[in-house]
This record gives sequence, C-alpha cells and structure tokens, in this order.
Amino acid sequence: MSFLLEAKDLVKDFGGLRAVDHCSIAVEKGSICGLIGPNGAGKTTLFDLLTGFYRPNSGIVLFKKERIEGLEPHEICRRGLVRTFQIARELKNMTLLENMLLAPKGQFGENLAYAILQPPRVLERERENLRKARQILEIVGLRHLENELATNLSGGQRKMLEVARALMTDPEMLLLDEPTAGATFEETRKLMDYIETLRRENSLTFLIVEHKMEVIMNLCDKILVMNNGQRLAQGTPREVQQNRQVIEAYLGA
Amino acid sequence: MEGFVSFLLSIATIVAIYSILTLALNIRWGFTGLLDFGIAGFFAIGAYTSAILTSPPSEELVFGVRHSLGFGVPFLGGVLAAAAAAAIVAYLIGIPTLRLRGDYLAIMTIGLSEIFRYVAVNEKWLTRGSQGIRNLPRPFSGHSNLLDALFYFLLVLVILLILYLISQRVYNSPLGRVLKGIREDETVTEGLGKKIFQFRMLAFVFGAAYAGVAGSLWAHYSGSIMPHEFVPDITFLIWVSLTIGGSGNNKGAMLGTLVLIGLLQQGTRFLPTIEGYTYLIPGLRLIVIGFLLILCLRFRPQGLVPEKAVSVEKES
Repeated sequence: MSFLLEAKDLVKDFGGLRAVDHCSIAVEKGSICGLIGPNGAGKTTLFDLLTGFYRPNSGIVLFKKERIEGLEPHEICRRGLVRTFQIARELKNMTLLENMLLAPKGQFGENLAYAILQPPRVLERERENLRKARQILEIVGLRHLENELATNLSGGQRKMLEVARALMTDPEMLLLDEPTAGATFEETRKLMDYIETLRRENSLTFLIVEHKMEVIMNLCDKILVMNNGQRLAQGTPREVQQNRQVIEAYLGA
Repeated sequence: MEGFVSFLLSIATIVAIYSILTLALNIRWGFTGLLDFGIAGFFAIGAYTSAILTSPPSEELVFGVRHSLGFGVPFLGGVLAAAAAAAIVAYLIGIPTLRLRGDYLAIMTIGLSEIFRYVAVNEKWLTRGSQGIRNLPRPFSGHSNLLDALFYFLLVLVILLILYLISQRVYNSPLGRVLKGIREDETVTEGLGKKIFQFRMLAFVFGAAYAGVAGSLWAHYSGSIMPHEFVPDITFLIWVSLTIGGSGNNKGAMLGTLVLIGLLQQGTRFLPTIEGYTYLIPGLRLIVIGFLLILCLRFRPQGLVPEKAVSVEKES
C-alpha cells in the first residue's frame, strides 16, 4: 500500500503541555482522510507539525517517501503539501483574484528584474494563472466577487476562498482545517462535491479536520480519531462510529 | 519676480527629492509592511557616498588633521554609487534585523540611522565631521542662477518620474503581490510557498536604493552636507507625508510629500519672523503638522489618495 503522507511518533510539547503525544498517521494517495476529536485533542497542532509551522520535538514526517519535518513551510508547500487555516486567514486588503494569484508556484514576475521589465513570459504566466483562478472561483461560487476585497466576504465565503487559494498552488495533497466552519448548508454541499471531484479527477489527497459529522462520515474513506494528543482510533466511518472509546471521548452516546 | 521664481523652484526641487524618500518608505511600509524608521540613515549614506565620490580630489587640513577627499567622479556615477552603497548597507543590516518583527525592527532601524549620523560626525578622515563636505558640484551649472536651478529641478523631476514608474510596475507585478501578501499576513504567504525573508530583504534593499538616490540628489542640490541634516526628524516627516498621502499608493506618497514638505514645511519659509519670538513660527509649524496628522488619522485614515484595489477587467 502506498502512503503519500506518513507521520511516525510525532511529539510536540509546549512547556509542560504535551499537545501531540507519539502520534502516528498514514494517508494513502488519492484518499480522503478525516481527522476528528474533541477540542484540544491536538488536531491543529498536528497540522502545524505536518506543514512545517512547528517543529516536532521528536518523530518524523514523510511526504512522498521523503522526510520533511524541519523544513520551512514554504519548502513543504513547494513539494505539494498545502494547508488551510482553522480561522480563515484571507489577505484582507487584497481582492479575491489577488489572493488567488498570489499562490501559484514558479511565477517569473516575482523576480525584481522581471517585475520591472515585464517580459512576455511574465504576462503569459499571469494570463494562465488568471484563467485558472477564475475557473476555481467559478466552481466555489465566488467568481462574481473576484474584484472585491477579501475583507468583505462572509465567514463561509472566506473558508471557500482559503481552499480555492490553496488549490492555486497546484498541490498533491491538501490539509483542510475545518473547511466548512461558518459555511451555509449550500456552501458545505458545494465544497464536499468539489473535494470529491478533485479526488476523482485530479487524484488529490485530502486530510480534513472537521466537526460536522455528516461531512466527515459521507466524504471520508478513512477516519483518524485523536484525543489528548494521541491517536485514539482509526478505520472506516462505520468502524469509527461503533468504536466504544470514540463514542465516549467524542461522539457521545 | 526672479526671487519668487527661484523660491518656487527650490521648493519644487526639495519636494521632488523628498518624494523619492516617501516612495522609498512606501515600498518598505506601504507595500511590505516593514515598520522602518531608518529612512534618514539611508538618505545620509546616499548623500555622503555621492559627496565623497564627486568632490574634486583635494588635500587639506581640517582641525589640524590632514584629509584627502574626493575622487572627481561625474554626477551620474555619484547617483548610482549612492544607490548601490545604500543598498549594500541595507543588505548587511537586513541579515540580522529583518527576522525581527514589527516594533523591534522599528527600534533597530532608528538606532542604526542615528549610528550612521554619528559615524559621519566622528570619522573626520572620511566625512570631515561636523564641518561637513562643501562645494559639491551640481550638474548643468554655470548659467544664470535661475537657469541652473531650473535645469536641476528638471533633472530631479525626471529621476523622480522614472523611480515612480518603476515602483508602479513593481506594485502591479506578481512581486508586488507577494509584498502585499506579506504585509497582510506573513504566515499565510509563507504557507503558500513564498520565502518571506528573501522578499522582506528585497523590499528593504530596494527602498534603501531609492533613499540613496534621494540623498545624492540632495547633496548636489544643497551643495554642502553636514551630519546634523540627517536627524530622525526627516524619517518622521516622511512617515507623516506617507500617512497623509495614502500608504500603499505611490501617487498618494507624492501628494502627501507635496502637502507636508511643500506647503507646510518649505512653503512657510517666507513668513516673517516675529520680533522677539524667533521660534514661534517653526514651533507652530510642528504643531500644525501634528494637528494635521491627527485629523487625517481620525477622519481619513487611509490617506488623501487611498490604496486602490488592483482590479482585473471582467472579460476573461
């Protein structure tokens, strides 16, 4: 079985608090994996460890069979592993399109000389990225707002923009931290369909933290449950739903 | 009449030179969000570099110390060297300081700009100390005073225009987008694969080059430079100019400089001194500037010409 992302024995301490405690996970290529657990279980910290925002005290992270723990977030992003944030962090005083166009890799125009001289290849690349950005905005239903400042979006729209922006980096795997928090029923539906499509057509891999059980149970192939920084259980949605420990710690009777 | 025209020309030249400084701050703060209080320092580096290089070679005794100074480099060489020197110094001090956030960077930059000034005061072999460097050559001179002033003003204006256009290009480019991204949220921009430190450095160095050019133009405009001209007051005037004009907007930066430096600071020079109250007018000037800043922050925090959202035409 080929795992795209593997973490082994990750530990992260904040002073006396052990936020992640010898946690191991493995996500298969092309799968949608859910990560659930009560508040404070260490889900977001785990995301931070996987994407380089924190360094683990010990343990290793493998992405495409290469070790990535200790790399900077921008290096991990370039390898194709991108995350979104639990609280949407849209770039407020930039338009939706600017938010989107910031993300793509390999932009020649980020070089000072190219930025000033604007050779055709810069403009060419801009056009390509613009086309792609509009396509994605169309799908997530934000196309009509493309020239709005991101600060004017609603909570759900912000989360959509985060996902859309992460997609602009051309990732192989996305870590989504509560992508539907604050989203309306419609938006949630739309995002779930989109994630399913991306997996099917672009064989993207997903690891999703989510509190809405209907999202997790319908979307995911496999679910990991965390509690107190440790992995409590893993399995198919059905298995997890029937697991005694999970019911006690999280789902409730 | 001629007196009045040359008065206007001198104000216009000063405003144009200061506008370059405001553009420099706009690149650092307006685009990138670097809390930078060291503009005066890079202004000084530019001025001294250009002054030392373009002075005719000479040896003289100053305070009983023998100085050799001057390389007789032509004006344009002085301007380019000033930009390069300011950029190199910015790069070197950027290595340790640009990892600092917000207020720490502010403290470091204001401290460093004061250190540059004290170096200029103390390293007499290089800068002639507080005596300053005099008799700096000005290009296109040797006609009537008025024509000389006009030529120099036009030269400064052309350079300002070029620097403005370059800065506009950068702002509207993918690079400008990354800089704005860093200003809005460093963490997100880093997460999107951008090497933040490298871009912060670029903005810092790029801004320094602008300030260096302004320093060079200032030295050749005034004909002599002394360390006490490069006090942090300049930095704060530039900050007020940018804030009033519109942070993040190059046109706003220049308009703010025109209002603050042109109308308030230089334009009030003709006011007569009031007998017995020599410091009344300069004092009032600062009060008015402070009042204007407060009004601006209260009623128009985005400045006279706010930053415009970069919008793309609807057609795909």
